[in-house]
Amino acid sequence: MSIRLDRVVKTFGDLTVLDGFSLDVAEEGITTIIGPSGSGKSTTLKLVIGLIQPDEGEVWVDEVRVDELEGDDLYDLRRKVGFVFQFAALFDSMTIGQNVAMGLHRAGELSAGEIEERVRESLALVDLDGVQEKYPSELSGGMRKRAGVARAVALRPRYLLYDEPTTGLDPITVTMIDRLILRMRDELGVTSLVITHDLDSAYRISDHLAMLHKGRIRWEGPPDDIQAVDDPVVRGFITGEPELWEDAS
Amino acid sequence: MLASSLQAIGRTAIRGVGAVGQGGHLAVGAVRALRKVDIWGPLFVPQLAAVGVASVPIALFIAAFTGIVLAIQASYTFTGTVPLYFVGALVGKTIILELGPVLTGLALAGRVGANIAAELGTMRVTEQIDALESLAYDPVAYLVVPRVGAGLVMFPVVVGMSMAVGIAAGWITSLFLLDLSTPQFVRGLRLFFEPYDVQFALIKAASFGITVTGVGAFFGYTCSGGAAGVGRSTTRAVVGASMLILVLDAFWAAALL
Ligand SMILES: Nc1ncnc2c1ncn2[C@@H]1O[C@H](COP(=O)(O)OP(=O)(O)OP(=O)(O)O)[C@@H](O)[C@H]1O
Ligand SMILES: [Mg+2]
Repeated sequence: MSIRLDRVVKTFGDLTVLDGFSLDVAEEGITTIIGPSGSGKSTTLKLVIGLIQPDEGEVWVDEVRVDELEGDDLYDLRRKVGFVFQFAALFDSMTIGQNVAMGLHRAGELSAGEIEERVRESLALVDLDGVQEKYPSELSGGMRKRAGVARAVALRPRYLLYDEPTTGLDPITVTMIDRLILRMRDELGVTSLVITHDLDSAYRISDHLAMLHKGRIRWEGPPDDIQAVDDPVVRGFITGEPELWEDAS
Repeated sequence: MLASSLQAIGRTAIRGVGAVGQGGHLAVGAVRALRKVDIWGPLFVPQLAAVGVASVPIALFIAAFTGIVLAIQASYTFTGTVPLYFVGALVGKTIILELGPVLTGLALAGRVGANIAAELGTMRVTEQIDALESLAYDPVAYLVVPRVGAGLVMFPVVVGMSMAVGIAAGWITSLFLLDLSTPQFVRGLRLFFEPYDVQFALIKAASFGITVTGVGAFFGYTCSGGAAGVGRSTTRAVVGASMLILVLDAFWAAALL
């Protein structure tokens, strides 16, 4: 059950991004992936909803093998999984309200009135009341980011994948998004896979923490344990010491 | 020197074959997406306006001036040798058979094809197409089908209007600049007129509509590489669609005339 990647290899041309990557995401928990820029974190999330295909290995969501899905089965899977894009990826020809409503229209489970209500609710969750009629280009970067979160949570999906949901936000908003992620777990039983560069935030929200390095998981465990890890690669990364990091890698 | 140019040719050829493969893939996807009316249906009418109605001014502008020039040049060519009422025949025949569809097609390759390539290309590089997918929309049904469908429907309409305006412009020119009366112009117009010509022109126009929108959608949809990539895709869409229009034009002439 839940999300599982098994010995995944993913290359872009000559570049091997993931090289034997395996990860189990615990049900109804928050799993966080940390790792240096360009190490393949966004790639991992895209594999989970089949936006890209692995060269080798298996990607599972529940009982379904995503990398073998095609056509409409893939779209059915995506109804269960919300995706927060690293750069929001809002539809710029639509208002924020329309953006958030997009997935709801597609799902076709709610009436027009209920959709309106859900949109307002979702925007309130990220403290974006009153911007429904605005276009993405009229918002600040941080507001766009939060609108992207609202669009993903509006569907109340069983799984939520967050690609750096708090990068570039002010400390108050960071805490708010952290609380939102926790709330989705506690109130709705959502299983989350989060990518972040914000280690404090990672320690706060994670049930399980994993560090990606050179195409595979270098270390994983409860967030409290990472401080005691001896591996210089992990130590160098979390203490932000380039020398230690470079020697080790 | 030779080796490197051979290499360059080889690379271009490989890219070309790859593009044909990708294009075929997209075309199959579009045909499959036809049954997802719930996705593309609501977007079809707005696209009819964007692809068709908005193209009318430029198309008619081109048609009017083509009609004027054809009439004047015909009378210049015919002076003394051919009866002047042949001006009507030449204007009608060339506009319906060739210039109406082709000039309109080329102009719309610039207007519509570039627009689609830039819009879809931007959506691709800003991950908006991925976002559509993540919200369980088939992006081919959502973006490609309504645009290509609108091209198929609206190009014949726009070309039909262009032909009418082009001929009317030729007629007015004949009245005021050449010493030709309305009955004379109409006599010439009817001399070689075949209803089949109009059918032929509209079939061509429909094929140009699919080509311009399809090529634009293809280069936009497969775009990569940021703003520069969008620029590249847009250029390729216009050049590619224009070339295909001329090739198709020759094909239809050989196949249907
Ligand atoms: N579609 C693609 N085509 C070619 N290369 C790609 C593509 N997507 C990602 N890459 C490359 O794969 C590598 C990993 O990219 P990815 O976006 O997964 O990194 P990341 O860990 O999310 O980095 P960041 O923390 O900066 O967001 C990068 O070197 C990137 O250039
Ligand atoms: Mg990333």
